Amino acid sequence: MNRPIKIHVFLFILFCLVCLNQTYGQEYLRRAEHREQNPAAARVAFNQIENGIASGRVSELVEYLSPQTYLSLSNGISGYYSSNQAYYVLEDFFRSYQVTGFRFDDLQIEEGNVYGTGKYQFVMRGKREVAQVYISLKHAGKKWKITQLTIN
Amino acid sequence: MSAKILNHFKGDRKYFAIVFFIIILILLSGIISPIIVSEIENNWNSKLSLQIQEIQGYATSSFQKKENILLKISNSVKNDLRKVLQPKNSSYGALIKLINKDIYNDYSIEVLAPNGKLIAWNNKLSIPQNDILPLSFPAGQTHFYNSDLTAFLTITDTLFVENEVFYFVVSSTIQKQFSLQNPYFNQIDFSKQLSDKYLTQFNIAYTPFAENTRDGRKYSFDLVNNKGNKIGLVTFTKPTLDASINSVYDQSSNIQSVLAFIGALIFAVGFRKEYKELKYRTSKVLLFALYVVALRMLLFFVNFPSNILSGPLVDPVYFSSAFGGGIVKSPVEFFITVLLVLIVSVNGFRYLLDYLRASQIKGKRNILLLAMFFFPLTFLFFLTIRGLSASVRSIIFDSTLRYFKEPNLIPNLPAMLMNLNLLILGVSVLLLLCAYVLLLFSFISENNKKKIRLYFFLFYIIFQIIGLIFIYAQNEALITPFLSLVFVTFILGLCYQIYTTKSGGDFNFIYATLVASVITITLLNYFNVELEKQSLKTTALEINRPNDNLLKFLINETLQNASSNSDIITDFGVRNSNYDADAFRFWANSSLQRESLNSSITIWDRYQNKIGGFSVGIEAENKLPKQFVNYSGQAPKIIEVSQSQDTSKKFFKGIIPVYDRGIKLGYITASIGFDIQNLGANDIPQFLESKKNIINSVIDIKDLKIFEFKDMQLSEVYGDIYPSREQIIPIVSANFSQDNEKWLDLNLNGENYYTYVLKTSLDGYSKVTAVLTREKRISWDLYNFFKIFLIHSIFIIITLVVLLSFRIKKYRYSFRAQLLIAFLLVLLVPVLVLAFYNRQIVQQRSKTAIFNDLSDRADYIEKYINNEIKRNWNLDVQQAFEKAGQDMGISFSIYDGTTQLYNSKEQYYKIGLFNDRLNPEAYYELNYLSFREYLTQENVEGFTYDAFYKKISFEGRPLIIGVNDAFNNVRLSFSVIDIDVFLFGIFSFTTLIMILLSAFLANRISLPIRRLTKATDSVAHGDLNVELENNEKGELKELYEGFNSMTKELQKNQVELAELERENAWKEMAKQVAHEIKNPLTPMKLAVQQLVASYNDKNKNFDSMFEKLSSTILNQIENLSLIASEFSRFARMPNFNLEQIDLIAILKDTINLFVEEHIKIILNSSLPSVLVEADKAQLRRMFINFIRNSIQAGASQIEFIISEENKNFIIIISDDGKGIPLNIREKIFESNFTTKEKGMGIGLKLAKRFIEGINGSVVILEQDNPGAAFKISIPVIHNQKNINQV
Repeated sequence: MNRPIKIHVFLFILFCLVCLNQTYGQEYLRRAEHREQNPAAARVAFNQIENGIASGRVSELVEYLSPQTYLSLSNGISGYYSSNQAYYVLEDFFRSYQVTGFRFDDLQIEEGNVYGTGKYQFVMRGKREVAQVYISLKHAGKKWKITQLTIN
Repeated sequence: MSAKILNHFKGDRKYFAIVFFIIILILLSGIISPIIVSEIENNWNSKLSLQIQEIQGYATSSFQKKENILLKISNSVKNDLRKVLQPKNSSYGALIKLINKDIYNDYSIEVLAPNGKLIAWNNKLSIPQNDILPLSFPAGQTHFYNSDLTAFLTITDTLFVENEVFYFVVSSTIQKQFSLQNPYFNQIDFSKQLSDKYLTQFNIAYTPFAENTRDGRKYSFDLVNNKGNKIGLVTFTKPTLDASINSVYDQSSNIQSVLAFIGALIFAVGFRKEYKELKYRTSKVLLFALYVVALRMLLFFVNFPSNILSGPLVDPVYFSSAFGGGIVKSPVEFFITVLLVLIVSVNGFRYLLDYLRASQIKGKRNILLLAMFFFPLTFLFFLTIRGLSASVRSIIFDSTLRYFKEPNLIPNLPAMLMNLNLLILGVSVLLLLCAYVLLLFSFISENNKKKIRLYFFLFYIIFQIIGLIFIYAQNEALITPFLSLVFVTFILGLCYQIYTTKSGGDFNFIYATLVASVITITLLNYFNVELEKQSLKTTALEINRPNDNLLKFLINETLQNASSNSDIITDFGVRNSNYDADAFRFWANSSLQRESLNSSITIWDRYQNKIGGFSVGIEAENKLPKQFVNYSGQAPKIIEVSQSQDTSKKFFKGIIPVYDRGIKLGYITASIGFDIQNLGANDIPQFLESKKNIINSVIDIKDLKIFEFKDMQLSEVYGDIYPSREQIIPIVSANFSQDNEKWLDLNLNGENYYTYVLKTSLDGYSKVTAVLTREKRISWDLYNFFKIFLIHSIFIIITLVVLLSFRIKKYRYSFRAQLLIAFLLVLLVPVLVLAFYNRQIVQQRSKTAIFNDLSDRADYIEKYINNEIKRNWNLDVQQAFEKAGQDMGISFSIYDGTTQLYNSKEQYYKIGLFNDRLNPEAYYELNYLSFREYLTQENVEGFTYDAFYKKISFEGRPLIIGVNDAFNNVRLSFSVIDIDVFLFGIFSFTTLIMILLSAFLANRISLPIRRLTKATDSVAHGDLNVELENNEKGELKELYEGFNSMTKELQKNQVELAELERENAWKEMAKQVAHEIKNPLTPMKLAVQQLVASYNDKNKNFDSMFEKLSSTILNQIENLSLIASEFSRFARMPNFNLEQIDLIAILKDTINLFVEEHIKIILNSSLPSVLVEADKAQLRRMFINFIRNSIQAGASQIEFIISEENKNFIIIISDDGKGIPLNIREKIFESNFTTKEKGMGIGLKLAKRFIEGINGSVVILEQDNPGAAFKISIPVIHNQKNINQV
């Protein structure tokens, strides 16, 4: 194989890698949503969400973010956000409103109306404050998803 | 010493020294940070007091800046007032005009006459007339004034005019006590400004009576005014040790990331020389790409520039994608990524173009490679289109920006940046797509135009077929077959244009940008339609979201926050507090405003009497609900109030008592009403609405139709269509998915609707929600297209201007430039004039339409009230106003003079959002200029609305009526922004097309002239072989024929002249030779004759004579030999005009003569200049000869490599032509040897002769590759004189 052909082959492989990465990278999160899930796992979901918020780690919440999650946060964020956006919006929020503690005070796990409320304790500019949290879940496909997350 | 050290860092070494220094700095900052932290920990008390001093100093100086500006404005107002009031009997109307000047727009100004009456004011009235006098602070001293919603920094001053004292007050907002979540609201908050600066909590009391904090964790200090008197108190939380330590680490990390970025750039600069010296361009392109990738990774890992920026550009709300693990997590990160991708794409594409040109010229077809790569590359082509589609989908779906619904022609900063990102992404991907196609075409290497067209057509058909197969083979195709057809057409068209462009090709990048813009906007529009469809789902979710629990949660949260607010506790202790304003502040700061819910907040005293309230969208409460009477709990109590049997209407109320140290002060209640009819916050004024509701942000709620079914029976309808039984059958009989949803296409009354149906179950019955929107019209798609294209065109034009300004030196005032300017002037001037004229007309018509609408409403009210008063003689005017407001559904206000008598939206005036004083400009126009009606624009919290005022009369009493579109909805068929988008969108598109068309035409028209100019230049430089290809018509054909015959004639004449000169020279030389030879011949002849005579005479002295005469003959023979040598030397010596010249400059100049030819000439030298002593004209002629020979040998590329070797400059000239056969290599430098049909065989002979004439050498080189190669050696000159620049 002479040099120009070698170069062509190399370029070809490079293009393949770039394009495959570009095409399928975009859909990574959407695919991640289709994992199997026990339908009666709302309590487990709330536990994991509680742990995620209490530790300020969005990565623990990511599997519960739906394609359109309603967020209403103390920093003025309010509206529906895609899972991609919600990830970074929450990451920013947890960075500014550093959590010191969180737990659900009230969990309502009924058919079609699943929600939890709790208190989000945080430090902001050296001052300890408390925000009220409301999280509602919806059974979408095979797993529970957050439809609304309010921290006010 | 220092000079010695510096000598070590010359050249590229200095860059690596800087990089090394940066690495040291990065390491040092890592080492220093813990030391600083340790130092802070050990001396925390002293550091803290220093920090407190610093904070106090900054806060005081910030306040003083605001104060100084106010004092400056106050002085300016005073001077202006003096000028107006000085002439006796001057009109106060002039005062109104004066203080309503634009420069005072940000300030509230009030002027009082000596009798204390308000005589002039501006639109930002801050202090009620009664609160100005008596003065609360001495005149000329700044102080704070607290209104119910705003704290002002104010100054009252006096002005003496003819023994009379006028008072004037100038105020500026220092803090708004409420905030609204909407795009209009402009937060002014001095406390927040300080909090943001020092990342600690600030609380400012705008009163001189505030006391210092007793909390040890906080620190207080006084704010003093311009005369040193206390006017306020600043309290802030002392900085904590943890916060200070974190701040040090943050700063250290930021410094390290900036240093790393700078280091990476300098590192690249250091390798510039090595990079240039790389032999293979492929290596260069790959290395460059690898460097850019590495740079992006570095920026990502050091989180640069996100860590040093703040604001909307780094806000993930505007865009964030999980792609690449976060390299595009905000608009600015996306920008950096796509910009670097673009740089790599352009670099790679340029390389591909050069490769393409070379293969085009060579004309070598490689069917094997074509067969091998065709399908993989075509597959990659469509995979890349899918990648682009996925990216644009992400731009739409992973952003809260609504690109087509931006309220302004030029959108806000994040939207602008995202539009730029879209364009850059499009161009980068498009170049990649073109690269695939052109790479395939390079294997065909066709030059024949007809065949090129044929092959492109074949490619087009095959690509279209594969594209359709690709679309149909996917489970979830991102684009439609139609879009695939359109994109392939555009891309293949662009590829054809690029392939058939012979030289230059900068404009191809503009074409590529245009095509990229069209493709990306089409995709953006397409996915926006998808988003709109998706928003039907969101709307259905939104309708079902406010379930009982959420509404209860929101009431609970609002009540808890309100009851713990210190202001309400203070206000309960103050007589005549404005509880309406308190209620509004609680509402504005709560989720009720953020969610734009129809809601109310009411404040009750401890006896449960209403003392204040604020409501939007629902009736205000005047009586405490019976369930709350005597409520004595501590926590909120929330109840659902059933208003109807319909479950889609929800109404919740809650109450919480307010306690202060165990004593009950009163109660606060909050109510929320949710009704499908009130979707989209229709009942909330625009200036209060949050605009964050997804329904509003994606699709206009007025364009939606919503049907709700309870147990499959239609129970609620929103919108103007009430469906028939047949029409709802597809909805109720839909097969729902496992997510209980279904997408339908419905036809209602002859129009198609996208429909989303959601099934939910609640309290034992099933509920179905169907949300419909009409399919898009093409005109609306065009509107969307132009809205974004306008922004893209701005970027394209800016890029064009920047490129031109970089290359301005290269451009000259050529014939082509003159043509281009002329075309652009002729085309663009009328277009621009027309655009602005149309805009003016539309603006004027919009204003007239608003004027007519509001005027009609004022007339209705006037007529209605007059009729009512006539009909009911016992009805007083006030009652008539209220009745008119209720019956007509029109909001209005009535003024007696400047005082407001009535307003149908009284609560907004009571809380202080609006002023009850007549608009000063309206007062001026109606009172002083005696106009009957007046239309103006007013502003409330950043929201601008139109206000109409008109003189009216009720029972002979002159009054003024005011009607505005803040509370009355005025709908225009076309808004100014709609017109702007269409006008400027279309005109910008036209402008770009005109620029390209003008450039094309100017290029086309001037091409023959440019070719002729180049050819003439070549002739002037001695290249008589030049011949113009004559495909022209008319005069140009004759001109070309004339030129070609002229050069042929010149060539012929030159040969004849040379022959003649040679003949003459030979004749002259023969004469000279004969003459010179005759001279020694005569003595030789005489000597021989003497010798013969002597021999015949048997002379006895014959021996001595023989010796003498033979010596004479020999001497003469020697003379002859000398003469012969002299002539030989003379014949060999050329007549050169030697001078010191830069060979590189000469070579570049020569290469420039061949830019229009089908050949690529590369000059490769690392030497900055090559100074030789030679004849400039001869040297140029020699290079022309070599290049011309290569062209005639079918070469597509010639390379000149210049280097220095053993005090000689070595020039290697190589081409890829057919080369020189071995058997003739020895003869090529001989005279009259040629392989060309028309050649004379003197070019290389002359070249050799010239080079040898300057003590150089020229030889032919052996080489493996096809083509010919020569090596020329020219001595380096020792004593350099001034260079004769070319």
